[in-house]
Amino acid sequence: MEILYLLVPMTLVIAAVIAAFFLWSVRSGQYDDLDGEAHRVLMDDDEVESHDQ
Amino acid sequence: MTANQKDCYHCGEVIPARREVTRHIDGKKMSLCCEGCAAVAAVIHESGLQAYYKKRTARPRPVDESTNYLPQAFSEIFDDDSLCAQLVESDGEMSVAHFIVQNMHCPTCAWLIERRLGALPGIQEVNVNFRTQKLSLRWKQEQLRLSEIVDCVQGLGYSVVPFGRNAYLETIRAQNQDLLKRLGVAGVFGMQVMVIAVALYASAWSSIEIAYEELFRRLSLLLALPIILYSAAPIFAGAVRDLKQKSATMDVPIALGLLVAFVASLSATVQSAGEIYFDSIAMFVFLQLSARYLEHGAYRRMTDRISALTAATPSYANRMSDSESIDSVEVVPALRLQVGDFVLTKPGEAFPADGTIITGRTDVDESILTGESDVIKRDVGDAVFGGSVNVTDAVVIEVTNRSDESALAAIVRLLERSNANKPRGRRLTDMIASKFAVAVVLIATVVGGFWFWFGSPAWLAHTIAILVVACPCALSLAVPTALTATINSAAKHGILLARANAVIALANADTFLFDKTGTLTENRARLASIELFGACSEDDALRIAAALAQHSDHPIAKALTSAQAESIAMAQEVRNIHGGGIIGDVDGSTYRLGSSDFIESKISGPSPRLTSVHTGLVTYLNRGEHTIARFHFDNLLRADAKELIAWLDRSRIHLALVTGDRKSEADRVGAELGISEVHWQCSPVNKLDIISERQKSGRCVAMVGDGVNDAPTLATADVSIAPASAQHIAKVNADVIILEDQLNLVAVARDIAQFSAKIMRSNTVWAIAYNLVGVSLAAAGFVPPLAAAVGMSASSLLVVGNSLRIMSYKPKLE
Repeated sequence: MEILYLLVPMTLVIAAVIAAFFLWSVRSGQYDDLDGEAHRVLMDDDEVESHDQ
Repeated sequence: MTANQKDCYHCGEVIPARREVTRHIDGKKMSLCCEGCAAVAAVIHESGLQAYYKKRTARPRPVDESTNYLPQAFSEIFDDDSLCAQLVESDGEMSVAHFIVQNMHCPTCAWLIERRLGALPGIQEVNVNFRTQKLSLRWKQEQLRLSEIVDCVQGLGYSVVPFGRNAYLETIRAQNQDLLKRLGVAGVFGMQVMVIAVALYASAWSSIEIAYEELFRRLSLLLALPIILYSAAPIFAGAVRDLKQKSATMDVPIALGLLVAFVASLSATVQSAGEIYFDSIAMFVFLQLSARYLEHGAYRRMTDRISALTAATPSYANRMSDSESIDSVEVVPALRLQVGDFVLTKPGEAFPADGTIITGRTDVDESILTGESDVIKRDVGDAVFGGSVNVTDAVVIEVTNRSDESALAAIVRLLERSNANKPRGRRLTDMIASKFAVAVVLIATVVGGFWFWFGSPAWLAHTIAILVVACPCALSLAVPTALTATINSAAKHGILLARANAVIALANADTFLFDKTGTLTENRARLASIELFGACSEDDALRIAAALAQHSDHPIAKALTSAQAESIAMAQEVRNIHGGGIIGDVDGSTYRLGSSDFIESKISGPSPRLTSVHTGLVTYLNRGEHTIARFHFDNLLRADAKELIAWLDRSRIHLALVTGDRKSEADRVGAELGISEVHWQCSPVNKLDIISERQKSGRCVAMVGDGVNDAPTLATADVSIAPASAQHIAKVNADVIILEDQLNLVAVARDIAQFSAKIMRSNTVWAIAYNLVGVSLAAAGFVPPLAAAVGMSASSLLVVGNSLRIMSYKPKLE
């Protein structure tokens, strides 16, 4: 069970890293326009199609 | 002549006879309805973006028509350095600018603009948000001028208006980001706390070493710190604010529960004895913030629409330094106009500010202010209002009011006032919460005192358990989750609920008031009947009238040509006479088409026939001195207006028609739809009075309207509904916007709202019941931390699950 003394701090570090990553992604505006991205996924297929023509 | 109707390749409208424009695009011969459409179609094909035509889900309006309402060719203005400095933020290398793009119809439009701009040199990042109609750019200014970017977007048939930074919108966006960050942190650390909580609960059955239990408890504390200090900070701030204002809302009991749970857990951890509630805290903060984040999203959508509205007023003006000389014209931003400036306004342009006409006379479309589609004649000395559209002739105006103080801006301010005064139903749960907080504290004190009096060593634990269990988690979610589900469900049916708290008012509304033009009827005129006076057949009269009408863009003329799409005769020597009608030769005779004033002024002596009662929209056709026909027009009823009215009538809702139009028109529509109460020739003030009167007599009033004149009315009604075709300003004021061109969605909206109100009621009852039972059990000392956590989660999830039923609700319309 001594492994807990390694695993527990690791939990803390990983949680902190995930939180920091999330804060960065919010700050860089990745959640500002959620609808737009949903449409953009579909539209990019069209681009390929138009190049094929 | 053959009946060979063609649709425009670009906009899909039927091409009017003899107006067809043909172009060879990609080796194919294309038919288009106007030069504008032809130019846009060519640009789209040259850029290799023809996939637009396959993937678009809505068709644009004819380009010539849709861009008329904005000043043409103003892109060079963006080369002005001082203006550029206002609009563009630059960090030396890269520049950033924002625009509002008008006339976007479907997400494919956003894609088209992004692709086209992305292909320009120097562009680093381009983002078009279809929902907010915003275009954001990052580019190298030395490679690409702002004017070239504007030209490029206009070349695709869209209008762009620069959109400076708006401090208010920036704040909203920052709040949204802030809330999301706190939510994310609560999520990440909350999950860790839960994992540890499971280990600790398991230790109740198979004991773990004290050392490890201690480790886990301290770890929970450590992980809960960011949640309580960072994520929950807005909850505590809200509670402090409410206490200072002595107006208890939901924040107070929530903050109280959180604080007690945390302090008790903290002291238990430090003393290595007693219960910890970190898992309940984490779960609770996360659920709270989720609900707030979703609510805030709805609020943000509303402010985005207001920003699109502010861009709807024209931004540029042709200023003349000398009112006599046409050569002295220069294009300036409308915001730079001063009182006393002379401005040339061409046909098809909107007046950039309030003013007085000093040269020329013209017809003005004031529908953006009055909501009615008839054009009004304006002569020298007459006042014109900023935002109204000059229809027929170029005029010079002297500015009497700066553009930002113009009439349109005044209406916007009026709306803000109405909004502030709007009697909004205070949130039921807030009311409960204020009593709740007091009651909980009292109960906890009494119970704690009781256990202490009887010498129970667990008196403190019991008191804490009461305060934790009493934390109104499910209750605080009861309404917001139902509202968010309602908004999503309504959106699936093509209904935009702009203000979430209108749902309850919509469910309760017992009176529906309808505007006529544009709401129950379409905006276009339709030929209703032809009255003949001479030896001329109906077909001939229409054929001749249509031949003349082809040469005019007046709505009446369009109704005539569309009534006679085939075999239109040729008219020669056609003259458009200002303020009256058209003169031209058809089949060798001279005809006049126009209003009775126009016809009478050309014939000697009044014609007895023309003095008959003037009802509705009419136009006369004269040959020489003889009136040969009189055409009557009306506005077409929307296809599903009857269905909607019948449905509302069956639901025992009181209906009334409130219109600015004439009595005859109002009566006709009222009779046709079966609305017995009809108010005609109502000014916006009359409409407001009618609503306040009803509200005073205790009725809950819903207003359905589409014009600018309806806007104050929409803001005052308990709940307001606007169709998608409504003026921007009416939409901004509406609580509910019908996104598709289907009037009976009003009934769907009401049905969903009623179901939603039912869910809210059951949620609230359930949540209160849970808290009452929980508090009673805790008072008796039966609630350990595990039961508190499970109870809270289960009651909250039940509320969420109940709210989700709204998402799959199918409106029942028989």
